Amino acid sequence: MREIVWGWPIVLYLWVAGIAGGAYLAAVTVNVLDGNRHLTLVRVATYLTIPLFVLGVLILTFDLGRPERVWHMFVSFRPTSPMWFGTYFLLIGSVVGAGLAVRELGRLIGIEPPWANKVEFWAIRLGWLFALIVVAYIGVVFAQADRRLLWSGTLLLPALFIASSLSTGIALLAVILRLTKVDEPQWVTRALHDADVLFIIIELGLLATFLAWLAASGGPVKSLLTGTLSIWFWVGLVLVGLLVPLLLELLVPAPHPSRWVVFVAPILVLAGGLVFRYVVVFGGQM
Amino acid sequence: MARKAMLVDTSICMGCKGCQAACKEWNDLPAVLTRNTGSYQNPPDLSAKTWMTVKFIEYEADNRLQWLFFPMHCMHCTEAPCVFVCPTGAMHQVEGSFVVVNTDWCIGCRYCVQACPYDVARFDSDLGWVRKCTFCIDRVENGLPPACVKTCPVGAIQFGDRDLLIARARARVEELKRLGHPNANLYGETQLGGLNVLYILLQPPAVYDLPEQPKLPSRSIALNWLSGAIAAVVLPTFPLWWIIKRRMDAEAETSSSKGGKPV
Repeated sequence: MREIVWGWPIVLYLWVAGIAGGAYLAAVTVNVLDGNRHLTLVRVATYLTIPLFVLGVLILTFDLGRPERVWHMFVSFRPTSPMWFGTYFLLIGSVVGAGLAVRELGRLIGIEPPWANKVEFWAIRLGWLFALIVVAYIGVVFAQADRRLLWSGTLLLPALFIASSLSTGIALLAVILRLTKVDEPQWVTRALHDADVLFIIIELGLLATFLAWLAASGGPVKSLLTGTLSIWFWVGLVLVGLLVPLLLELLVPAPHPSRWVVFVAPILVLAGGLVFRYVVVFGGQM
Repeated sequence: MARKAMLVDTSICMGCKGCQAACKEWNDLPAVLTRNTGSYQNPPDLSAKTWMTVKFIEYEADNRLQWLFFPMHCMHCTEAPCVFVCPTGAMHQVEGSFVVVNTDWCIGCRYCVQACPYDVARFDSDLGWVRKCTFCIDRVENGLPPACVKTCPVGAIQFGDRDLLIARARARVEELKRLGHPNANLYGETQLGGLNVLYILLQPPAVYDLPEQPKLPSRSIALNWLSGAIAAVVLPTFPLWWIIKRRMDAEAETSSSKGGKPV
């Protein structure tokens, strides 16, 4: 086995940042499509996204060989590097996130200037855009490593990351809405469960296409299907992370699902997201 | 100044590893503890503390065993993927030929390690930054040949103007073909905009674990961003829009038909 250059911290960063971005994307999309009636949902997502985002950025920074030099990226201009772009997006996204956090703080302590709502309206939409960029750029970073065929052999890695980010983000949002019982109207929580089913199906489709494409371009398909990572791939990702939650969501009728299904399915989806990132990050370097 | 390069003639290399030792000496690199891998190759791989190593390859063809030597260090690509992806510019090019890490500026993100098609750039976990062969830039800038070139006792590694070296290499490849090495070839003339370390090989590049024609980073980047952008536009919008609309419509229907069961 070769040396693992990007290890567990990167796996965790991808997982955490994907959940953060996916949850915010889903919440804001519901809100915008339904005439801004779901500010509560967006606020729940904000409370999830900002700590996860900060955690992700900290993991990423401390995984550097020289964390104290992280600012070197901010004062450089390196437009050819997807990582430089990503860092800049994270930096600007942090400013938007800090603004949204200040707005929430204002709400909590009762300071609400008259223009706060208008600024928040646009900040939320800007936040949506940055959440989208955060879940999308990372696949491009990986795809640029020519020698790692698992990452660069197809053009589907960004799509897989985005789909998994959405499904894990939505899963966390659904769990939190059930726990806090702030889902009004109730169809929002159900719509999130629907969305998770749909994204599991999309992920399965993408994964199958990815493997076929990779096999056609001579990539290391075997290491996933029968090699050292095959247990993680088949049991951890395909079975536990995708098929079991899919069956749970489909087989148990929606109007009155038992409590355990409501929680178990999204939690399995979240675990599957972690396994997916482990398989991709480690598999690419073997 | 004409573009400088290095030419490694593997057909006359005798595997003495003098270049390896000279590299360690000049660049002040410590010895590393290694394990016997059943080959004379030692250290078995490049590392942050070993910038040059002679690979020993046992190649069998037509019931004949060939013992191939391959002095390996950074290829100093003209269009270097490591320079292309570096997010700080610490990995940079000097005089269009030499790829060098500014270790005071490197943050240790290791993206270059992932992007190098030759697996040359290596992370030094003791120091926290990436290190690799510098083409002995400190010697070259002072009119001296790189340490490995200076040391080679049989002239297998040559230093000079790239155009002259290519002309010499082509003639040598023809000569080798006449001498009974039909697979002899010149590697590095075209790869990645032209490597500044050229190789005369006795067998096809794959035998030496060299990629035939690595992708140009400038060519793959546009397609990679495009694939990311398409997925980013399609995946979060249409599926979510469809799901949400469905539930919204269901809600509207229930509220309009009085007495209907709540969904």
